[in-house]
Amino acid sequence: MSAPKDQMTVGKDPTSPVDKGDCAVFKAPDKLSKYVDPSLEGCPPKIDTDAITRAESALEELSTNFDAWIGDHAKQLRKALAEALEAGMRGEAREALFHVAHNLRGDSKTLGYPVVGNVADSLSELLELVPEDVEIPVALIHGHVHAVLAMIREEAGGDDNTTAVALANVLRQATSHWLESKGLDRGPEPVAQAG
Amino acid sequence: MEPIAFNNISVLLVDDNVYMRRIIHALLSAFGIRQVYEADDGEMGLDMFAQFNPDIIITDWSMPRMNGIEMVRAIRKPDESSNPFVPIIMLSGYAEKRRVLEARDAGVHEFLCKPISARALYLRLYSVIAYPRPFMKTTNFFGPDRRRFANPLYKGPEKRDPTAFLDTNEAQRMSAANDGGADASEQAGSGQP
Repeated sequence: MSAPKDQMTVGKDPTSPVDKGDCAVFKAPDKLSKYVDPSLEGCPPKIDTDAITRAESALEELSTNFDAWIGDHAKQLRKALAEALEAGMRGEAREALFHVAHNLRGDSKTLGYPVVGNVADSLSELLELVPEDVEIPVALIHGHVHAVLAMIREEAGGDDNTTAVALANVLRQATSHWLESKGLDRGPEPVAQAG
Repeated sequence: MEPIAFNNISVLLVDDNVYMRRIIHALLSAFGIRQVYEADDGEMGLDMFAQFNPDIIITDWSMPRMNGIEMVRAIRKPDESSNPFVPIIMLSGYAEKRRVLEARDAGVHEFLCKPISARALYLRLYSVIAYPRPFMKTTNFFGPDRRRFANPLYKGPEKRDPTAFLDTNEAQRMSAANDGGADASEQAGSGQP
């Protein structure tokens, strides 16, 4: 019987190279254990529910700014669209439009506009999946951007707004059909977020 | 039983979105963290990481210039980085499974999808402090152990074995070329680090 080629060793110097098929294991320098009560002796520390409650209150206090912040996102989106269209939906201007849409995708639910987040998600995917040499129908991009702007302007981005939800679904379906027609796969739906 | 003392922990927060930084900063302050450094892209994040040596990094994925994944890969270079072991939490608008796996394979400890909640952020911080993970180095990976648990019954191929997922003939040819024909099935499978 030949020796196993796959070796797992305890490493001493992380800068040392490892051979193909080998794996060195390192105990990471423990800078953070000093913040855990030493009397716990290996037991997990308490989860500080008071700290979580304080943080939820802090978020609640910040929420007075949310309408202004989402309004600022809307301004950025309008500007980014104009610049991207002028640049023929190419290069840095297109990338900037993607970043604005992607930030909206991440922020909108926190800011109280979940349906805006759904539309921004669809727009981000469209800009990310389609190569620059494939022309995206301008109407599809306009449809997304103006839906977002209208929802923000009318404060109609909540998921209890049936018109907004229906519009977001139509845009998502139209995008999926168009991507499919170009042989571009949208992929599986996002994983559910735990915690 | 005492909770974690967050007040002396320093955090580097990297996100191009100023509003998200304000939200995260407010949550961290409410947890008791007083030292929060902010950077608005990966390049600036790397500079601040080298300058301040934070205890924990929280980073966005998609940013202009250098994105979060590129920054994590730069930090996880043991021969170039000032602290390649620093715990990294990725906070992202991406939620697809392939993104989570890509972040893990770049060397992040925890992945948190937006929208963010106070509880979810607290639990990620708690996890990296209360449950420090060993680091693994292979020819193509340096980062926290990607296994959440070791399965002693696992007998399948090892991810770090470059022949593991090739077809049988190709694997045998490579294996013979490398070490005289060791059989992958003789290896003790302990998971896929």
